[in-house]
Amino acid sequence: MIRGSTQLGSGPSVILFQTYLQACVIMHAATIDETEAQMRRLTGVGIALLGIAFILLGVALVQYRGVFFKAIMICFECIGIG
Amino acid sequence: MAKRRTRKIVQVISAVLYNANVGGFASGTLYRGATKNVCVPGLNCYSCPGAVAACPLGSLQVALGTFPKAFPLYVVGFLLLFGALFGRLICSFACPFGLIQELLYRIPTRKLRKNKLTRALSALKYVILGVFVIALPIYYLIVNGVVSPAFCKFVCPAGTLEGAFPLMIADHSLFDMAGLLFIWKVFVLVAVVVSSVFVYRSFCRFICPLGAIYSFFNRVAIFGIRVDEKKCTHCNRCVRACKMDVKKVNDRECIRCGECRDVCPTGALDSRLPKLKGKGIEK
Repeated sequence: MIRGSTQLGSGPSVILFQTYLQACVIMHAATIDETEAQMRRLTGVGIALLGIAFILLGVALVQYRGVFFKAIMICFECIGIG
Repeated sequence: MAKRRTRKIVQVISAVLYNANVGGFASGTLYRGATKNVCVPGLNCYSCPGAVAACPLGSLQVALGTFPKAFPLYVVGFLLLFGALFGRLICSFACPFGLIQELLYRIPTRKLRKNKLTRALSALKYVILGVFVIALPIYYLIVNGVVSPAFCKFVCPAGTLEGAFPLMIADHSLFDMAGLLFIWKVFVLVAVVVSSVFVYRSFCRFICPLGAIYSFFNRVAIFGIRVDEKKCTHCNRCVRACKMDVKKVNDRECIRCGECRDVCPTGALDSRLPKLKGKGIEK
């Protein structure tokens, strides 16, 4: 609801104009304040989505098997033997 | 204080979850379940008998074995996702080795406070990332035809503590196979343990390549510390109170532990997500 709105009349053009004014106020209120911090957050979201896409592509290309086979065998380099 | 306790609880839960295969410590065998296809966010050696998932750093080095024929999308995807969501918050909340260092730091001794030298030394982890995690594995691949995880092999103290010791306790024949490399790794572990008593998170600040990777995402990570510029008076109490080598909150050395929040006199620091209010974003 828009505070302070007034009825200017009841003709169709006036109603349309009021609707237009109300829409402008709503759009302004909902507009994301594109501060630097917000842009950074959006970049973070984009990178996270890219990461998910990479993971899904990696699954499709069966790259997870390389991770799995390394992780289930004793890594002799890791424990200082190999 | 309640938030500090919460962080400690989350750290302990993470450490327990990463190493939930308790039976492995007794039997000296590694977990082979499906979760080993997945990387955990923090540093946790996958040769730990308790480990239920893969180490992202070890997996990255191994995945470089497919480079340049195939880009290691799967592992890089995990790092991008964790980094973009949390940045170095993972270091303070979800890394077992970070927890170990913090517990060691609690030992009552004189402490070495941060200074220009420690700030300069914090760049060392990027060198270790470039040399031991990326360059050397690729070099081994070119020379030997097989990739070798150089960071795990020559540096990582988590592998010695979480992998070598439990496995050797369970299977003494592994100890018989140990040589100079094992002695070197024990030396590195002892150095990290001793330095952690006097220097806050010495491994995280100066050596850890995983922290170096996540630091690139600190400025864009979705979860982190928020600074309300309207309330901030730039008194720098947050920077002085921080035990990491930060120049300001949320820079690449910030691990989002939240201790700066406790000292801010105007309440300008918050760790919540930004909210979309009626007019613009509340920072």
